[in-house]
Amino acid sequence: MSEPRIQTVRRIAALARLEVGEEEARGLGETFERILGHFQVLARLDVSALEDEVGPIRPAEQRRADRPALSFPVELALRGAPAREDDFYRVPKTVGGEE
Amino acid sequence: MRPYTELDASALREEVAAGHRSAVQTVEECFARIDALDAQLGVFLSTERALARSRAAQIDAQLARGEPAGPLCGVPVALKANMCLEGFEANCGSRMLAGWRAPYSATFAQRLLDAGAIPVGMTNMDEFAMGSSSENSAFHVSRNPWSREHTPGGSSSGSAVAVAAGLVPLAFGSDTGGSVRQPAALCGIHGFKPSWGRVSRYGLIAFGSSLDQVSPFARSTRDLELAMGVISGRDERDATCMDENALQPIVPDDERSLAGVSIGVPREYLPDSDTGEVAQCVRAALESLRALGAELREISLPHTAYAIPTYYVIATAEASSNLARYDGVRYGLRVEGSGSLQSMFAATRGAGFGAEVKRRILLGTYVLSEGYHDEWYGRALKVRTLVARDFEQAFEEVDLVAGPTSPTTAFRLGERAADPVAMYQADVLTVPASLAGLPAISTPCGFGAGTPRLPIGLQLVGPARSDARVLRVARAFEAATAHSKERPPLALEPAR
Repeated sequence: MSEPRIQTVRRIAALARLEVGEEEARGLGETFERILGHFQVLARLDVSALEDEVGPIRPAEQRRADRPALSFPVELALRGAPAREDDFYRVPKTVGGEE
Repeated sequence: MRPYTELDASALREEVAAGHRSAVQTVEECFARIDALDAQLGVFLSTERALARSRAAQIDAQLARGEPAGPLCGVPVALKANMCLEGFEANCGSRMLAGWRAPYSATFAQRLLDAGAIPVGMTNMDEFAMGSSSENSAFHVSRNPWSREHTPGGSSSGSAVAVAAGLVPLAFGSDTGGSVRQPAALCGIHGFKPSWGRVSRYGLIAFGSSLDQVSPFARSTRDLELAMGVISGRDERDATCMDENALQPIVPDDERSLAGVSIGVPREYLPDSDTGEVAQCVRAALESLRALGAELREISLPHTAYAIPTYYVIATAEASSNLARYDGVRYGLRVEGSGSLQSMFAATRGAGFGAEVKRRILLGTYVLSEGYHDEWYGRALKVRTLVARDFEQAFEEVDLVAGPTSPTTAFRLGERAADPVAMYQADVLTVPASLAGLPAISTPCGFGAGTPRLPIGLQLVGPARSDARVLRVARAFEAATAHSKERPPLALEPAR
């Protein structure tokens, strides 16, 4: 397991907002390397003539009628909240924190 | 009155509607069966007995008042734990959502309720639908009713076992890359993945949004048709849902004739050199289709070998985005971290997700990250187009494509747990239809040669929106063969 690969795992984990321990990063890095190695087969195909598409089936894109409707009740939305204050989700300080 | 476990959903509904058995009695039979088998099979993550009993009493009262019986009147059903049903725990097989009860119902789940179905509980699954064996569940494994040492497949493991072991006649899973078809094959039951967009995804907790599809398991194809008639159809809460009415089954003059139907057998799915037990069994099934009048033709789907990497790049990219919502703010687990918002996010996600989910989030983040996006995600989207074009070309020549659902029978629990690449190969025959958004069924077609006897599934894939055709051909196969009538040998626990 190369040191640059562990650094890649750490960089990606930071992007993904995912805390991973030292041992865990090493293990994830090893399988990461193996999996990407197997996926290299995709590079063999010439795809230069193909357009970018998000999927083979075009979504129906059906629109609902533009009329007012009730939104999701606040009390129901907050029922599963880990922490709340009045009608809001309570979270740690977002400005002036350590990061 | 016939025993509960011998009835499919259609027959059970007829008995309840005709007054031969009550809905209350039916849910009691269901819970007695769960009590006798769940401890050894690991089917449910939660059951909701009070809710189910109250709903059954309500249905009996409606029938007593002479109100019309719905199409699933009195039928106990089980849902995979990634589906929202108000008041039920939808934990996705994850510590991240342990104890979280859905505050609303998915469109398809509401349609089940409106049709008279009685949800009895939420079934075990690989965490966030990522896995092929149930071993990625944060809570426990599920066991194959044909051999408890073997996996039932995944990720909709519990729902497949619930139907195969006769706990419920009808259950629902989600199929992203084969998560209903593969466990259906390994457990010896029917599992149907509709065309992408056929069933609303509103209330299905997202994994890979361009692939996910709510999909039923049943012991008969007529029950799949019954379920699809209830759950499919347009939904203003899901703009990607097809603007079509609910699926109507095709009712042929002669159910057992497939005259005029051409079926392509891809050499990549069933090469001549393959003499294994699955290939032999599927070849015999194809001969049965020929005997019904179908014409078999060898075809090629040349990009099949690229489907697994394409799928795992696209599905992990979509998962990394969809699972960004689990950050400790709005629902589920929260771990405070070192005091800042950012450290709370990272600590919550580090503690809440299991190893496979972390691996896939990292892979997905990597293939979408600056400098790698075009090389991985952009390229995979283009290869997805090539895989879909293979099918389009095939369907210019044939009506359906057929082959095995899974390259092997059920593998032993633990056998592939340490090797993600080997585990991903379990999906090799199911992901192509997923990438192309096509309807596909796994239908029982026999057993492997070894001991214990382990089931094998025949996969039929149709063109986009040809769901009724796929079900019709599977129904003819079912009617002409005895494979769907086989039941696993189960020793009941004494009543508690």
